[in-house]
Amino acid sequence: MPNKIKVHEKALGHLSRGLYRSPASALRELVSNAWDGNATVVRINTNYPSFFQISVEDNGDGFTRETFSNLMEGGIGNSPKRPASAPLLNDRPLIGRIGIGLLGIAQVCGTFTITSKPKKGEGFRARVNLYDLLKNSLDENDKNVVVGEVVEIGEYEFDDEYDLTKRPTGTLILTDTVHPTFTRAFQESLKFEKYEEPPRDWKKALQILSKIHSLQEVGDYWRLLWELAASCPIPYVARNALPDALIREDQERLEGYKFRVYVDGIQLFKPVYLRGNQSGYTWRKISQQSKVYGKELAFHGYIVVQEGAQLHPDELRGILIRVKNVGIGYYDPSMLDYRFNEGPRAKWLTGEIFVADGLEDALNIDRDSFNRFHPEYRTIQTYIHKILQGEIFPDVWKQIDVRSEAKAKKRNSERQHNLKTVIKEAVSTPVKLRYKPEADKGEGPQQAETKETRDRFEIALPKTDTLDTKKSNRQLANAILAIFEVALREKTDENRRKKFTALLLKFLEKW
Amino acid sequence: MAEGLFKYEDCPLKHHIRKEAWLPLCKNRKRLLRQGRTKAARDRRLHYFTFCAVGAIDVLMLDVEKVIRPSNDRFDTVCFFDVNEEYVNETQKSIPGAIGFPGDFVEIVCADDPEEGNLIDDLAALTSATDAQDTLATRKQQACLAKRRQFILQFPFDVINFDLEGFLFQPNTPPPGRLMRAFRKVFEWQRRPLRIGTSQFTLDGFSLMLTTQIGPPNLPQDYRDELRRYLEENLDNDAELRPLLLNRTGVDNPTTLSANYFEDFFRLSTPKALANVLMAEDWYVDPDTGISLYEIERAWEGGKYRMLHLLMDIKRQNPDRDHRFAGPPPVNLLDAYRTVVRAIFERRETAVTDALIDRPAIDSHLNLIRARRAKYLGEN
Repeated sequence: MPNKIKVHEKALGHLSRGLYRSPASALRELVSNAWDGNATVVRINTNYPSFFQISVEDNGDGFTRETFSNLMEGGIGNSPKRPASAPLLNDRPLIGRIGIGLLGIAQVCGTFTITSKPKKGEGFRARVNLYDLLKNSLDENDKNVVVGEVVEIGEYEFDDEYDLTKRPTGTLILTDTVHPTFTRAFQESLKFEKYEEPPRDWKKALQILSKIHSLQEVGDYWRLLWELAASCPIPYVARNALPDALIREDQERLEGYKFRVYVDGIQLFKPVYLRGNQSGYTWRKISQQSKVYGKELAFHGYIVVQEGAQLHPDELRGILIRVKNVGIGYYDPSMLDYRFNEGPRAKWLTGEIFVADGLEDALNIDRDSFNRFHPEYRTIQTYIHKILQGEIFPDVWKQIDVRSEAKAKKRNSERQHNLKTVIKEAVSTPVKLRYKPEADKGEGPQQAETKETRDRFEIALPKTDTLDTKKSNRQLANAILAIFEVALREKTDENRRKKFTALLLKFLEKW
Repeated sequence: MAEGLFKYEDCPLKHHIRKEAWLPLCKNRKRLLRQGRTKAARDRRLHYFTFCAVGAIDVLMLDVEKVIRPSNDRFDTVCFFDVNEEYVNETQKSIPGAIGFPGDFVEIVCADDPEEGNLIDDLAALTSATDAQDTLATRKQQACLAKRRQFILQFPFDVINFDLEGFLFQPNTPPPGRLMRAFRKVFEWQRRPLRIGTSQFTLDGFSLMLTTQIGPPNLPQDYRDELRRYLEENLDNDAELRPLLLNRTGVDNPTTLSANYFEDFFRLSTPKALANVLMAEDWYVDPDTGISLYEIERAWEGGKYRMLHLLMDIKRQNPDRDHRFAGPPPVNLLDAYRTVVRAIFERRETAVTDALIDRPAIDSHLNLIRARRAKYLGEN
């Protein structure tokens, strides 16, 4: 008979302290809890500009003292998903279960207070104190922490004297002493050269971010705002935030959920606003439904390429997958491990994939990344790569050709104009430039010729593509030939030499 | 804001004082700023400190009245302290961008810091500790020091509002008490130069508001003795004061006053205690405006108590302590002090009662302030 494989609760103990890679990821879990709790407003306060405390407050259903006790006493990692029979407000899809995310805040502080006033049932205020140096204690099998197969990671105590009648319905999580490293990093970021105070109007904040290369330049506070804006299930700044009404339906859906997130009084919206690029945009709408190993997988979204211009900040580049509207990790600049090198064009691309059904099993426990070999993830990856390789990038290349052609045409015309101007100044009469008809083979290389009439100076140039030199040199060669002919009109060699040099240098000033 | 978190926020009597006493004082301070010597000094915004701040109704009122000017809807020239994280959280929702410190004001202000005189790296306290382990106790210690240093760096303020709900003098510590010791530190830090960008300003004066409950009735004898000494000194130095005292309280002896008429004793001696602390830190009360007193009576289950509100303009001593010889206070300063003291004996406090206030005006003013709060909360 095979032996059973078991997991010790110490594993969960470790997870309780090292699950999220950034404060935004930990806070995102609390925002998700608020969403599932039918909240319409979540307010995160970072104590900006001091950062000595953080709070997350929502106006949702709250949870009861009993639920909290159950969670704290073994329910973390074991909480049932909300029943499908209890639909969420405004047809929101259910994100997850209240669980370890509740302790995510432990990554920035060791003690916090949670106050919840449910719509039904008994509310509570409790102070949670997570043990210091837990990882050491776990490794050393400290008997105060590892009790048999159970791991005790901290303590909680109800504050029965607190008068809950004063509080509105919902949940408030408030840290006590935030870790000094966090406080310091955030305070320091306000002193960065490129730091600007985030305006309360998020659209204006996006304008600031569109002028920087990376969020690193503006520091951790902006990064927190941006990451929360990217990951929370909130609307875009406007229906036209992306070209050609790409997100119109998504915006209607997201607005319909009536879910707002504020950080320090700033109402967040998704951090993407692509308008006004000179060379325009190339885009594809995505919509796909399939079955993977018998499970439904449904996703839709968009991919947009900002033609000829890098996206700013860098963090907007790549593809972000959203499961039940919540961003998983960051925008992936590898485009889900796209295997072709598209050079700088990859830096023009951004996209979002909204996964409505499936992919949850592919989520890693941090809910910040995927198992990249999960069949559902692979299905999405293959689909996206097919679109990138077969449709998006070929279009982008075509656009590059179109733009290059237009650019070359414009440049050539400017250079012709420059040549005419330089010669006109030398001969003091209007100048006409024309190309000679193609010569017969065997006649040797064509030369430029000049003809002076009473009212104009005419130069006949060889056709550029007949000159036997590199394509990129032909226009310059032609110009030099023209200048040479003009210089030849001088009477002495010395004057010809002087004239040629002067005209050439003058012409090259604007080359 | 959670309903009732600050139960006197809507109190019309209290709001009358805000509107009719605090507001004119702050407006006057702003007017004085506009008379600054340089353009930068004239153009700068008013810096305001408030403790306790919960609800920040005073700040919102000054915003409505355009005395405080937020930048991009952020109250970056407002600093406040509150007793706990929850209150700070509530306040910052109402006045985003204000610099809020949670914790025990007195403990933080009076904490020992060997680096206080040389604050170069304000973030040093938040650097990873090399010897101590990463425990809650270590982190709390680091945070306390960091808060203190950052609080010091916010100084000076044009207006300071110590809006206490409790007693100024707490019997469990020796005189002058924890709060008075903290105030002294605050007045010391008020001498710091104000730095805004690359500009630096020296404060010639500021406005001070102090609210305290009158009491406690069982104030220990050592406190009473200390306060009585101020009164006796005043009486000894100015023969005209004793008749004024008699006229005002019915007695002319501070000992009797302390024993039998404690509230009058408190009203007369507390402003002087404060004036003396200010003088010790190189400031003095402007004799032209003196100290204004307002009072509210409140009921509680055990009876009634009174809240005393003190308002004053403060000036920097001239020449300041760095530019004069050590020795007894200059004559002009003593004259100013005498004038202020005499005014305290002469002028009675204004008792703010329902009969005095214009209730519709108060309600409508409060509504304006609530609307402003709703704007910052994103509820509009």
